[in-house]
Amino acid sequence: MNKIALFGDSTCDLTPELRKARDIDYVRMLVNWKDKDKKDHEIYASLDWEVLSPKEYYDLMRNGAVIFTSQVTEQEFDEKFLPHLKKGEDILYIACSSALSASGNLAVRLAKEKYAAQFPNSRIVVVDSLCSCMGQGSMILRAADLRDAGKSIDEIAEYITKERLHFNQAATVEDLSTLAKHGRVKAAKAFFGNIFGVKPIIISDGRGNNYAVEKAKGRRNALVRLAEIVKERVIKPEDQICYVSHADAKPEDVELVVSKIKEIGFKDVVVGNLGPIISASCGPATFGIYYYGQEETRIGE
Amino acid sequence: MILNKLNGEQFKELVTNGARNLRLNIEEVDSLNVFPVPDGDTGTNMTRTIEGGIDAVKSMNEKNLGVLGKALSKGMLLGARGNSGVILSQIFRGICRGFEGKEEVNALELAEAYKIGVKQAYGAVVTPVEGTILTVFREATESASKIVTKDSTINEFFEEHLKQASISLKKTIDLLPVLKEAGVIDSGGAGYVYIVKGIVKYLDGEKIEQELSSTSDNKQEAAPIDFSAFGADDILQFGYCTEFILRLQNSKVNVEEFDVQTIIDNLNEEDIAGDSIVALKDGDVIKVHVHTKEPGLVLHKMRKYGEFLTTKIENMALQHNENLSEEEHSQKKMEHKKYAIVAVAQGAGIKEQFEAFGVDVVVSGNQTMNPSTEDFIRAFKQVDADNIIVFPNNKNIIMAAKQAAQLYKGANVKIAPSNSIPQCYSALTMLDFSSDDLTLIMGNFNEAIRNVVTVEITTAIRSTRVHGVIIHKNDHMGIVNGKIVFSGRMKNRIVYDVLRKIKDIKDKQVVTIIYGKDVTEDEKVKNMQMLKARFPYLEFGAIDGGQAVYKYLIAVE
Repeated sequence: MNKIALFGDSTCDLTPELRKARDIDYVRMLVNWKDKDKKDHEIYASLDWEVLSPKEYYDLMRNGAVIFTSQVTEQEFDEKFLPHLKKGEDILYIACSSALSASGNLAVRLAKEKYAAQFPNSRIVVVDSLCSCMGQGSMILRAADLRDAGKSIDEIAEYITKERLHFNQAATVEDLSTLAKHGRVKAAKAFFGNIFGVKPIIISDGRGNNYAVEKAKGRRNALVRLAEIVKERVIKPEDQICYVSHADAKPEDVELVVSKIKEIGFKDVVVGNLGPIISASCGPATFGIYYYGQEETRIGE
Repeated sequence: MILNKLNGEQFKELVTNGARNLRLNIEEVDSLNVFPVPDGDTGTNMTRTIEGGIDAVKSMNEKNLGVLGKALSKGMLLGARGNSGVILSQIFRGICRGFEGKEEVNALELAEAYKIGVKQAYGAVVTPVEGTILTVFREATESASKIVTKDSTINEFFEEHLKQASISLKKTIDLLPVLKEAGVIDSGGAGYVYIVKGIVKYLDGEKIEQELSSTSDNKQEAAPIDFSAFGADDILQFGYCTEFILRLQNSKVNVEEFDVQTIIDNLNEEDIAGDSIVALKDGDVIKVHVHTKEPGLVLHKMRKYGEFLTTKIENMALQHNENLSEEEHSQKKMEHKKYAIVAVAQGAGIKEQFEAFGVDVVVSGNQTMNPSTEDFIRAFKQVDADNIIVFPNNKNIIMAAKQAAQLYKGANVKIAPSNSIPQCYSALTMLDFSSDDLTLIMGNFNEAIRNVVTVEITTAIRSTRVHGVIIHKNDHMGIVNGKIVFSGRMKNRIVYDVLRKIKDIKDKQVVTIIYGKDVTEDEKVKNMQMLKARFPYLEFGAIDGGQAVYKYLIAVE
């Protein structure tokens, strides 16, 4: 059995420390924007934040930059996958939801049309996480557990595919302007209209779309509602870590969310940054909470 | 005139005289407002209500009291607006139910009918409050019922009814603490007394000279004129519809012998080139209607014969357009929906926002803020939905909305308990029909409404003391959930001064300010700066509502 190289991508939000400890790598998407002098900038959507710190990146948005994202390139796949393939390893890539990014589909195509002929003894398996951020990240960590326990690539892929809709998301944004610019969140038309003070509660739905299922009035109510939703849907909190990700939210907001989440009784609550891709379309101060809960069967309109 | 019995024709005359007397005193009743705010409209509402009844019977020559009463009561029910108007319509509904099947009544039977009126009116109000029109009407009925015997005249009943109504009205000030503090009597009770006075006057032989307005007239008044129909580059094609009433002057002509043909000849002259001419002579008065491109010449020439009493000149391009759009409007059938929303609002900005948020029909309520039962029913018919949710947005409108909901059978109509524009605004921002469960939808609306603290800021029109707050004329006055909490002079910090009176402002998150039409840009900026500095934890938003009277309407959530 070949060694399995485990991959995520820029939306999986796994920190350098975690990736190193669990032997996980990721393929990078890109972000670009125009500065005040209309000059174009493009950088990798790095989870190491080596060009811009999270704070610098979120402030860029706060100061009015509209950030666009692009999928993982063929060149990036070559750069990251070829060294493993050359060593005769298999690759398991748990990709950002296909509803949000075409990166996974490109990987499938490259595997079939390019890498298969070159490396007939290696397998490349791509699983659509139907999720992003630490939902996708937790899935990859679970895959790492299975790999380390000696499971085959097919067993791991089958398990993740079966379980993926249990990796739940509950998220909210601070204001609707960034969402409106990007149109990346599905919702009934009456939901938005840039209504002042209204905060959407966004899940990752059964097809991997970010979908606004309900709304709350006021930031604090929205944050409290996130914790309520987690409590309603969580399965065996005592056996799992809950991930709270945010895009530079106010300390008091973080404190509120963490205290409410801690009441639910998770084994641990880990706070981290919301990655560069998702925050680009949701805006600064977005909150996402990721946990293992009931299978998400709701489908956005 | 002594009446031993009362028939339909006579009842119509009595009520008409009552309505005329009320219309004569409409302003006084309107001014009986506890709050020093220029939105008192009890007199207007009651007058329009009773006129709705008169309108329904004015062309009837019906001697049968039961038949006439039924028509009168239905007209009043549909015309009802404002809480006092709705109660008045229910009073007459009860009385007229007492007349059912009767050709005419004697004083005893009349008293019995009035007692049914008391029951009906009290039954129509969820929690009857003493010290209002209810008390005045009940005590007056009880007193008059006691003194009548089978030999009494109709006059005796009404005289006693009036006597006691006037006494009860004076006592309302002692029954309601809020009236006592402000030093006013109850406006609905006062309106009722004027009606009874008019009835008694008629019996005493005094017919009041006062034009009543009919519902059909009001529709014309209310129709907006689209001035854009005649632009800067348009050419006058239709001319002006010119109407005037001229009083012939003895100093100018021989009034008695003056032939109206002289006028018609004048209007037919080449320079005026009048069209569609109608000219009538009635004593020394000439009434004229003519279409012409030269209204100035008409006015100039007519002064050879007399002086104008009134004139009206309208560009027919506008009229023409107006009539067309009215037709289009009535033909417009809305798409069938499962859920629809009807909301009451005034102010162009608020209407626009409400429509953007999913309100299907905004009911504006003509001259006063208060739409009638019939206005609601018209809106219900227009939307064509299985379920209609109504936002009355004013305490004084809820009863008319409920009355309409009961009368309308074409849909399941629910009334959201929204007493203010801010509450409605807030509920609309949370609008979500996706559950497809009416109980849940209404529950969510109710919760959103409950969460809103409504703040209204307006200018005091007189000095008074209400809710313990001393108010000077022209003060900026803050009302929080219907209670006056602050009154002061500083217009650039008034919003802060009022908001800080909200006890749990620290627990609030979102403040939406709806600017009225009289707020200056400077006031907006300065108030907002102060608010953001003092309440850094609150999220502030603002929209231009364009409403009258209230400079600021604010939802605090």
